[in-house]
Amino acid sequence: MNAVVVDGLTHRFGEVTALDDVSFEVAESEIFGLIGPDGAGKTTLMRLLAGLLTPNGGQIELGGVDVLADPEAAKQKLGYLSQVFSLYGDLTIGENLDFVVEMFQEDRAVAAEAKQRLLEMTDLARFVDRQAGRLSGGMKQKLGLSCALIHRPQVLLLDEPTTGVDPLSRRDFWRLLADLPGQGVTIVLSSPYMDEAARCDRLALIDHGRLLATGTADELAARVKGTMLEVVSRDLPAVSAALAGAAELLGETTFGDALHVRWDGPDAEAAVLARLQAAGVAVQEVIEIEAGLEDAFVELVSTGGAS
Amino acid sequence: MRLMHLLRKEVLQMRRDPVILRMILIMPLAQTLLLSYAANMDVLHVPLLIVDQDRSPESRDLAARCTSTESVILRGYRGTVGEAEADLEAGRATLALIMPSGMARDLERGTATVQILADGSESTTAGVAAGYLSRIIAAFGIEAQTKQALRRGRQVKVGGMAAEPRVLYNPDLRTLWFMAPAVLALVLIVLMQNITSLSIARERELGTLDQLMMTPVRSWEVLLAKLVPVGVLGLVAASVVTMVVIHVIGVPFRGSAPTLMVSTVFFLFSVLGLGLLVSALSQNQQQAQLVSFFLTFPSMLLSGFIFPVWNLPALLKPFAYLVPMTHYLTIVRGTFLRGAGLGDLWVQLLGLALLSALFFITGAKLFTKKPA
Repeated sequence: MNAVVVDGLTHRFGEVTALDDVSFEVAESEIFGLIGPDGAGKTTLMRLLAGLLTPNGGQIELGGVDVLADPEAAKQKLGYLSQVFSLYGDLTIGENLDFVVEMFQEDRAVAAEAKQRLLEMTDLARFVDRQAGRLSGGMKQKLGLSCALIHRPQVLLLDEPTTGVDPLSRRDFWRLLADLPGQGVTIVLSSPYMDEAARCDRLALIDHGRLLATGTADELAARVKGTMLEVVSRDLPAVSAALAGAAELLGETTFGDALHVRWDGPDAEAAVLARLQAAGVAVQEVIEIEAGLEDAFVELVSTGGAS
Repeated sequence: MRLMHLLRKEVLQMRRDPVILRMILIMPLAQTLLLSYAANMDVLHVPLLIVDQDRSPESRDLAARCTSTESVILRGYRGTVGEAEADLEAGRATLALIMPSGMARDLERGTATVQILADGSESTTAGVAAGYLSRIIAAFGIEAQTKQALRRGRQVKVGGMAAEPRVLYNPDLRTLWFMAPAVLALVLIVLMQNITSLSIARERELGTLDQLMMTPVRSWEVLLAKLVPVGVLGLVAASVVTMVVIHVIGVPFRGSAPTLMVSTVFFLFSVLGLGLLVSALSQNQQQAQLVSFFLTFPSMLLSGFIFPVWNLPALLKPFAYLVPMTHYLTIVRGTFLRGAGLGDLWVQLLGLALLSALFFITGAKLFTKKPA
């Protein structure tokens, strides 16, 4: 059974269409990533899934519950961590956790056990009496995760959970997430980071409110047409100029001191090298590389998902 | 059960906020004392200039009488009307009494006039003080004519009719007695409406409201948990201020304490309702505070706090009754000074109840509505 089913979801803010006919499914115990540039509609989608916004059209099913028809039942199945820290900064870690437990009216003994387990898992037990507002960014996110998990939801919604968190804490946070599917928790998370996208079981690419593609990272990368070549040169503008106008050129993107060139033709490496030498451009190397997620992302966004 | 936990969290947060407790304890006291004494409309010590061009025993007598009242204080003598006008223009005096040459002679003929110049930019005080002077001068004129008539051996009859005013409830017409109970209302509005409007707007601004709404908690539980502690603090503040008004400022309390208590609870309901309405309409604390701030102006200007409601233009009058303070002021002034009871004040109580219902229902509706 699918843990999340989204069908034809549309949401407008006045004249602006924030989400346009978005449909996807997430399997149970999957980590599903929503990837897209800022303003793509990731947060709107998250808030719709969480039931904090009412869509203009479409269906959402979480853990077999129709979110729009029965929002209260959906809340029991759902944990949500918003992009900004939104726990009570003047309450301690322990008080914040207890408060969520009280709001869900969980059984006290069960809740106490869950609290202890989460505190140990997140390594926050030592700071249980510290006010949440005085925690570091990484600790705040771990506390947020604990609060979202304490009522044992089936589906966990994480809206850019590691934005603005230091790399070490990010790694720590992902270590915690990795354990959750084993406990039957399905995770839907949004992220602007490609390295995080690569850790997801499956991905959805979103831009301008539209779902451009879904699939595993490899599947998405395989959708990049042609051969991906990395051209290293001291004079990248000259390389660009020399290749411009070639019928086989599908696209090019600068990555640091190299140019990624997508080439649609036989013997791509030799063909490109020959063309550059003919134009008198000095290059260090031209090698075939495997198209990455980032290449796929750039291509799908620039072609609007048409490829 | 969940409501109890919500309440406990609100109280916990309130106790950790050092500013809010201090605000609730100190602000009402400071405001009551300051406003009660500052908002004093008794006319005292209005600076007066005298231009005596007659230099007669009569003019000296009149000058002495005019300066013997507490309402004015003699700023000095000026030789010409022009000099007096210059001083008025510079704000060095508010009134000038001009006695033209020949005044004593005209007085004998019964045709004497003197002039009073008043600074209209201080219209209230100048008007009242000029009124005092006019009465002194009129009395002086009648006395002078009577003396003259007696000297000539004639019978005189002056003044066929006299009014004998007797002011009830506040015989000395002390502004302090009138203002201090009203300050109670103002303090409650400023403090309670502000705190209420901030409390919900803060949760929205910080995103904690979203997180709260992800739990099975009901909107009305959240609202009630916010309002109850503020309401209780409001009652405490109201009691403290009432005690200060009675025992420190010394305004007599002639009504029944339960009447005032019940009315104050009604008033607090309407103020909290208004705060809730403001909060529901605001996206963040700054908006809530600004709207709250601007809402205190109609409370001060339309309610009869300064100007009586019957003095308002017909167009504005209906709005005065939409302001909770209008009704509460009638109640407060009535219970303090006139000893009015529930039988006299039920209309105002009904007004407060209706306004509370209006604010609460609208506020709660707006709060529950999910953003589109």
